Amino acid sequence: MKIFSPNESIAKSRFWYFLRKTHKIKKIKGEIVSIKRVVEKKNKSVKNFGIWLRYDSKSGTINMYKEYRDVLVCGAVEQMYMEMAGRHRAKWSSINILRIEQLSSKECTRLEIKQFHKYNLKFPISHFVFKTPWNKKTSLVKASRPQTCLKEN
Amino acid sequence: MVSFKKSKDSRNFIEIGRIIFVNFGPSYGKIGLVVDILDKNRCMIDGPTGRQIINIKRIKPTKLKIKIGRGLNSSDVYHTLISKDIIRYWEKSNWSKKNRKIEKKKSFTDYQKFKFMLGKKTNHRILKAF
Repeated sequence: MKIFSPNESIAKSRFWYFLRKTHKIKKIKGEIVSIKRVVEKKNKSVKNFGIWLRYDSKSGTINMYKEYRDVLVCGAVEQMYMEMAGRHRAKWSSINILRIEQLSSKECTRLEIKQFHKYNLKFPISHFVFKTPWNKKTSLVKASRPQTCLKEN
Repeated sequence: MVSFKKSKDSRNFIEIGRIIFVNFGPSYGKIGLVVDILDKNRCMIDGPTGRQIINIKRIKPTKLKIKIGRGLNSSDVYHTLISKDIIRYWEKSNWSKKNRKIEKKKSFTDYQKFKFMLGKKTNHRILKAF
């Protein structure tokens, strides 16, 4: 079983949770034979991931399909958990990942993802907020307002 | 060819092949090449900064741009940057000169600061005489 979790103990706990749902077996009666961390190769190229999930909302369980662009599967899953928490107030424990697939750009259906497949994609920075490095001294008070538009230089 | 075309839109775009300057973080002060765009907040850069995903809020596009394919690998990026002589074009620009000036001033010793102050004073006196 493939489990996405922050560490091994949570992974084992989740393993038993899913096993209990599919088979008549509990942690007391079973023994985990092996637990391996799957390290992803090729984390230097951008990929599209489709995630099928189901989650418990306040009024019932809902199935969803979401798409994400990331370099790692774990990154896409992290994005998914963040989005579900923000958009649907779904907690980690109430989300079950049913299936994850890496998609080619043609297989993606969501417009928010497809817009980044565009040939000659380009966009300007419309509102630039200068982020000062931690070790640079900045004054609290400035004489003039900051300029948020970037001019060509 | 490195393009310097002055477009109607006077802003520089975040696009694949754009040379960017890193404003914040561990790669502060380095030049990078945008190799791929993840989403509206993040892009993949390569070059002197190393291959990494960076937040677009941490970078600033320069006026330099190269034509490259999406997701070019690190060694090809390295060779492209050398063949197009990007570092030389960057060092010529006013932005880079300003950065170097500020860095130099920050590393001044007390004697150099004193000399600088005297130089400023004489300059002002000359200008005032006009």
